[in-house]
Amino acid sequence: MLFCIRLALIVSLMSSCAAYADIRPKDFFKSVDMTSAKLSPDGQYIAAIRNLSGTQKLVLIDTGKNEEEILLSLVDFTARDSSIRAINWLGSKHVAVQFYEIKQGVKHLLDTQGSSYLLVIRIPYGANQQADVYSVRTKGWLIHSLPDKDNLFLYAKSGVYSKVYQIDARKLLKHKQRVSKLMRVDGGQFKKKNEVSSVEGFASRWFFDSDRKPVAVLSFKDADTVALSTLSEGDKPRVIESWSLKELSSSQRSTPEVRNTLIPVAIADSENTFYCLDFAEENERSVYKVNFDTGFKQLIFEVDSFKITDLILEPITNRLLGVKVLKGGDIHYVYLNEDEKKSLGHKVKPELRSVISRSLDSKKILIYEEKHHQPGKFIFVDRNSGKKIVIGSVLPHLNGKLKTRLIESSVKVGELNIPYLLTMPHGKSQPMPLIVMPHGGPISVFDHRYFHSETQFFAANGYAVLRVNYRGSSGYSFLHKEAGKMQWGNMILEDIYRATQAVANRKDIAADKVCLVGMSYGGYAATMLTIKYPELYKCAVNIAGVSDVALYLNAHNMTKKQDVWAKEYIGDPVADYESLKSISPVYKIQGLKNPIFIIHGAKDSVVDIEHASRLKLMLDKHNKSYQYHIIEDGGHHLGDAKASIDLFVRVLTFLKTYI
Amino acid sequence: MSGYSLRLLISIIFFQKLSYALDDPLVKLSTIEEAASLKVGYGYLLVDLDVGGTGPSIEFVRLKTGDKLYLGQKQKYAVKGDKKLIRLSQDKQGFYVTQLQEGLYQITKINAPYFDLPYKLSTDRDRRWRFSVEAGKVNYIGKLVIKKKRSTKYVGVDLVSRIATDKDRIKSLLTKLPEQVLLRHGTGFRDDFYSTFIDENKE
Repeated sequence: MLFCIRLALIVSLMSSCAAYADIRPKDFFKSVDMTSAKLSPDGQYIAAIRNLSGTQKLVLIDTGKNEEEILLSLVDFTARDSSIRAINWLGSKHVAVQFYEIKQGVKHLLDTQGSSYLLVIRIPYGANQQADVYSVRTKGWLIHSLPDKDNLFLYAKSGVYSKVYQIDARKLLKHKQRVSKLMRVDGGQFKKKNEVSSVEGFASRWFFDSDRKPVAVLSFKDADTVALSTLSEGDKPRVIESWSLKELSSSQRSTPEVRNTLIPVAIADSENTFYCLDFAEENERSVYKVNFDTGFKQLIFEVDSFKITDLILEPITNRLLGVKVLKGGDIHYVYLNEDEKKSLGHKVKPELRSVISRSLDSKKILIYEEKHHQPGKFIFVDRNSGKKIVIGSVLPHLNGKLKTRLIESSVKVGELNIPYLLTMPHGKSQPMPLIVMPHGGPISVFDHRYFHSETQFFAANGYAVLRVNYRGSSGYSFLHKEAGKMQWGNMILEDIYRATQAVANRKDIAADKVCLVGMSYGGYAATMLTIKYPELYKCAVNIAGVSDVALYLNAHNMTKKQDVWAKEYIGDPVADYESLKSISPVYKIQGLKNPIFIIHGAKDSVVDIEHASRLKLMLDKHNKSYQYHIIEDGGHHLGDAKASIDLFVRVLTFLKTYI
Repeated sequence: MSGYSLRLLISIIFFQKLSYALDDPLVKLSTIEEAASLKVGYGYLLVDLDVGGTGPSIEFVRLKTGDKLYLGQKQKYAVKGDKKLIRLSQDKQGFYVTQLQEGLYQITKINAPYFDLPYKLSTDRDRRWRFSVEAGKVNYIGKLVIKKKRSTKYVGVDLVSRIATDKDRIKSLLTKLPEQVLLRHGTGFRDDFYSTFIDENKE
């Protein structure tokens, strides 16, 4: 019996050690797989975008048989650089694909241009049938998929008079089919009898009610004025709000009022309200609900760090499902957490769950689910039969492999509660070394509680990871965000320091093994904190970090509006030069006592490589210990999977040397 | 003041003004190897070019600043003398020099015609588009990039300081100048980095 107990203990110990095993960068960082999926209105199929063998593919999944086939493979479809930007069902027989292609020009004669057009793919009738691909050749865009009408959709054309047409997908010509004298472009459908609505002026957005009638439009009244007009049958459009582009772009008007100018991008799920994006460039990460008649305004969603390019809406109800963001030059999907909306101040689980698509009868649904230690999954649910299957994942190679615990807490710094997220590895002997990862920004960016790749990678390699939502971060309150004003090198750093102290005091954290890893502002913070607090931070990794704050503020890539904003939120490089110099790592290097690793992209257009070069010169001058790596084709983001692997091999080697 | 002294003073002022008026508005760039010796009161302007398109050019003016080489916070913006023009021929790449009188300069416009795009960028009064020249020195003003952006109808224009990134390259080029003069960071706004680095090197 005693032997059995001892054996059980040994096995258990070995299991817990085996459950914790370092994951190498090449096994962790791989290209994303499924990025988007939509259920057909009849619930029989799912159209999804997958990245397979290095190319994008549009796949069709039969929900009954759980079988998948490829409808469109970009590498077979075109030899040019291209991407699928969006997919929509047109009834249950066609999938519309917003397709974008780069046409390389002949040098000095034709310049390289991108062209975007709508492909319409007819679902094959039977097994082993090829999908037919049609296209809309008239310039414009898909504005409503009319999910309950097979074959029909609404398409907008803009010009001196902008119009909406109802188009029949069956009358389109095949993609690249030559138009003979007997044929008409797009089946001759762009004519008066198919017109649904029209308005004078260049329309940029149309808004529809639940009956698919256009009820409002955003259009240019003249070269300077954009107006939101409501539409009623038989009546002239009524302007309910207008904006002067000149005023909005004027650097003199970068006031809080202008920064909070909300432009409608979609009609919301309640009457007379619109989903709006915040106009301010540095703030295009927030979605509001606005009623322009009553003045009602409500913030409903903030994305953590990247600029919102469009909304993801449920086709019939117009419920907001999420947003599309621009990240590293690609479009990524970020979904709303329905549970978070319901939480109303109660503790929220670090699990994101959203119904992103449903059949017309709502008996079949598609759910997106993500947890702090589990990358996103797309789950099909048949409410009739109770069937529930995972039809795809964002990072399938990591499914079920990451075992971490997330602790959310806060530390009081002055009058503010500074929230932080601590990710603890599972099955690792304690106390654990700690990596502090200050996020970039620093204003209007935040660390979220869902899946974060770099955090999980470090945790999978035995490090506890601390992420601090210091003052200036979004995702909390307006006051919390505004408290970051003029605190670049002051209280923001103090917030990170105090949170680190609180966590380093834990028994399960090795207080003598703390290192910083940060990117952009995070790289700046990593360097400054190591200089300021060498007894706590034993090393720093500075990726694409600012080293000379005034140099950053004098960069030409800032628009005039951004320049005005930066003066208010960071400092004036003329009036405040001395104080900006005092918070710049490049002038503080003499005080550096611990090793630092500087990594920078040679083509970084946000924080120029000059920042890294200046730091290097000063480090050499003062004989400091450092490592230096320039990524020749690197920009301001981590890059693709291959670039991430290379980066994290180096970072991990550095960390293992010092903590 | 005697009549003679007064006439002498008036003549000096007249000829100074005349020299400004007769100053050629077209400023020519040359390679380092072809650079002429420095005139008195002049400094070399050193720029790293990466430009494309059909005949871009930059227009600039000199500013009144007293004895400073950048404008202070409360200092008024005032132009001194006439506009000057530098033509950048197609596909100019690399380091080029010219000579300018000591002073602070404002690039007011960049013309970057590209095929069917008559692109002009007004940079007037924008502090980031200023540069300074100190007499008797090589004043590096940065890398000027004028390039069409891929797949768009926009032209990217940038003047970025790379004094640290390109320091060794710049220093090796300066040995080819007809006379050996000190290198200076010729930004038109305060940037203490290079002077701090040099000073610290001396310590």
